[in-house]
Amino acid sequence: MKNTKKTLIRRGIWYLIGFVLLYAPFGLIQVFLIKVLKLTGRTDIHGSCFRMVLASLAQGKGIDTLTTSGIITFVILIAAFFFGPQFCGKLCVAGALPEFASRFVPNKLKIDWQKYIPSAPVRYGALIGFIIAPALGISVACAYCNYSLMEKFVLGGISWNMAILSSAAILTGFVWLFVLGIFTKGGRGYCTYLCPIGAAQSILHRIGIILPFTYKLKLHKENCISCGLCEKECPTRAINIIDDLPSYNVHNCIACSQCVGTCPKKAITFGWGKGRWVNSKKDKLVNDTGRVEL
Amino acid sequence: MGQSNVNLKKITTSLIAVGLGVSVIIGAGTYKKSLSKEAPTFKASFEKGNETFKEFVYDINNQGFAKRLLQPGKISVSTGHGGGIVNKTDKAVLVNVRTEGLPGDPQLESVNQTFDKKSKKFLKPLEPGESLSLGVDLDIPRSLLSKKYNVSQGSIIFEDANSGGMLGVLPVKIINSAI
Repeated sequence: MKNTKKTLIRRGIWYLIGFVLLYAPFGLIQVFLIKVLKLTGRTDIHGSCFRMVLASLAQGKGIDTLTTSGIITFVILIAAFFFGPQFCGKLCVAGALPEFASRFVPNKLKIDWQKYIPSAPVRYGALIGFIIAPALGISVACAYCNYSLMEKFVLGGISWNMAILSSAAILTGFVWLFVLGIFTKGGRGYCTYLCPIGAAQSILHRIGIILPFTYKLKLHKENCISCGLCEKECPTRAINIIDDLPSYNVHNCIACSQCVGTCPKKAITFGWGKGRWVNSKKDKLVNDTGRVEL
Repeated sequence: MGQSNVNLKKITTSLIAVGLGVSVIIGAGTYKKSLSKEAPTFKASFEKGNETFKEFVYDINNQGFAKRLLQPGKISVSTGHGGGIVNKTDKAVLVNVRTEGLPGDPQLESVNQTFDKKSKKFLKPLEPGESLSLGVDLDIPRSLLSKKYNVSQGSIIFEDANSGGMLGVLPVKIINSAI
């Protein structure tokens, strides 16, 4: 329990750093890119927008990499390939907010959506929808952006004047913070079902972990005592205890290291090189009757 | 046979889930499109000076359910994303914006880097051919919204702070067509 709290505090500090780096009124990364490297862009969260870059690409406009959002998107994706979705696990405050808030909600009020609907394929479907939407004359890049909403909440809180919200933004807030947020087991329902940024990173991470020189989650089976703490603490339900051993779904993992910090026997680690976590054949068979994995 | 059935079930479930993800996003986009009138935008260009731009009409009745429920009076008279106000003259103008007759303590907002958020003023001139974005945020009391068809009327006035000359006027009308 002590380890769990320590890890949560450490992660909380990371998310605060993420806020200062990317969100107004600070936006230090964007300020650096604009003032020092003379790139174009905005100093608020829109200046790091992956969705707009993706929408621009989908509309055939290409990617202007010499913008704040172009550079930040590029770095996030490259980092995901080599290190996993560290952006989600360390810096994304919009994902962390409902997760941390959900810890104050009693478990009996939370729904474990993944028992009923597999999250990874839904999220990849959402990414596909996101890409094809512009071709159908539909724009979803900004209207349903929880990052923008997060920034509006903070700035509105500072100035004691809530920002103007559209119906789509209000709907996003309701789903992101409540339905798929604090009332979802783990609090990360929006991340695991709908976030296009997380989906793109997961695809790259899935490819990256095959290579012997990348950073990845590893299980040391000999140390595992099947206590189930990793399953209990994983906010995205990426780990499930099956037949007394933890089974790992890389598509759900956000590299938050909550499992690493929680494990009392150091059976789970993040590390470089070979030795990626492969679920045993037995695990896979059990998975087929239970959780759906891609 | 048993294993292939399991695989088939797994593939089918995954495909349905992918379809669900696509449908949610396309559905959300379609819903947003149906509410395009909820946040109308305006465009304006400075050409000859002292112009009256096309009237901006905001209809409270076009708001979606969530907006009407939570913050119907919080609206923005905005250019939307990208620059909506263009300087088509052949000289730079230092744009000064003020409002007249609009209710609810109008607040100017702009994402342009030349806009000073504290003084609510543009600090650098708008060069010929360049554009800027602007939003005037209003917070209209609920009591005003449901009383009559014509909720409020006013204007946004654009001036050249250097010469003091008038660049243009945007008439603004807020209505509730449900009444």
